[in-house]
Amino acid sequence: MASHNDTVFAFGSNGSGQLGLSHFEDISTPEQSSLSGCTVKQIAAGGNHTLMLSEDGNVKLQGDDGHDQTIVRYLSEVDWRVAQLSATWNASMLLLQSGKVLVCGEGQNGELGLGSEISHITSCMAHSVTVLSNGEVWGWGNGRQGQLGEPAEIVWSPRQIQGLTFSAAKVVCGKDFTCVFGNRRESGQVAMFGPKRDRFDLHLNLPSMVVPGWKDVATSWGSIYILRDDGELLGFGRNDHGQLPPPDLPPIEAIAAGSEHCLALTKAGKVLAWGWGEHGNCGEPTDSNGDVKGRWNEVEVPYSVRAVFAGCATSLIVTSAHIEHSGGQG
Amino acid sequence: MATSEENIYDEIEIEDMTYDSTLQIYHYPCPCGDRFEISLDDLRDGETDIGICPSCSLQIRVIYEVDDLPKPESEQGKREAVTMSDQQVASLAAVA
Repeated sequence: MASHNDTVFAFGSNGSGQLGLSHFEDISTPEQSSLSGCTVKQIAAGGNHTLMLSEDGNVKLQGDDGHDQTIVRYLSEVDWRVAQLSATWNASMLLLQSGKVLVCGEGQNGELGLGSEISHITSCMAHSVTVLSNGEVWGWGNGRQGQLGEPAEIVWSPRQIQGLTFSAAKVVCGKDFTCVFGNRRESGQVAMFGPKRDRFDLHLNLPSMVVPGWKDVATSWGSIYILRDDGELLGFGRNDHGQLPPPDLPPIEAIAAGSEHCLALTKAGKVLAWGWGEHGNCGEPTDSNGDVKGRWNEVEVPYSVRAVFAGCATSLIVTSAHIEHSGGQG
Repeated sequence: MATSEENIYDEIEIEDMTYDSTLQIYHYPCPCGDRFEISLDDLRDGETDIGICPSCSLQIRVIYEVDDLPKPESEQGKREAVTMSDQQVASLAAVA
């Protein structure tokens, strides 16, 4: 891929400077973020910090977490390249290209070495999960709702999630649950661990098998989203603030789920937002509860949109001048 | 903000909350990035079991037993004050 500098726009919750702007106010209209200026590979967000991973393996951090200096120091000392990021409430997980995981932030300092190479890492509020190259799933953090398998307890060191009957391809985490997906081109199986207190009927509604052809999956704190190759977006779980896909969505190219809202990039290149938008993170307008419910807002930015990401009431749009879209109806 | 079921974002067990002994509050992450808070006094008194987020309209209900809470420090203070020196006892006896 030709290297190019992306412009990142951000909106939503900003009390800790997590949007990377020149101020600390919440905003509902996208503003240019200091996360711009390189080619963005991935953005992950915790409660009050945003992490950006560039294509060349460097990490930039915005917001107050207290551990940005640790990350910078580690990476500059040993010239590690980062392959993927995830974040819990106030810690950051860096999956290095070597397959090792570096964890830093409050309550955790150290390096984890797991025997097999790690191919994928993801986190939600209080737990992290990795997929190993052999298809096993290992996790750590708060497992009291069964999100790390049995026994349901706090897991201080990485432990394998037992009871998985298929090889994992991708994992996504909600606040109190973990959802494992098998290879999309084979069986398309799905397994969910936790939550024990299932207030929004996830166990009831989530299929045990997803029709082959899922392109991507994502989770907000209480909901699961499945994006199919044809652009259809399925959603299960919490919908009290309109978190689930509204009716009649146009074909979707990419999905990002924040804590209680979604950002979608349509195949026509437009950005849509819906869900809990009290902090401006779904744009305008919202209803009297601050929600975009049963409908969506279209969010406009200059330049073409390359990717969307979302955090805790924050929304981030990666743009570039060098994009051509495949088209499709708006 | 009135408490109605719609405003209750979640029910959280106190074991999942973090206790700040300096501020004497329990807190838990809110999806907006701030934290739901409830004071130890409120929980002890049974005044309210609702945790409020300072930055948004969401609230949580805290699930707990009063016996789970830290014991008040004033009980220890009372025991110490009861112990008098021999001199004090003698002077009291003299007055009586």
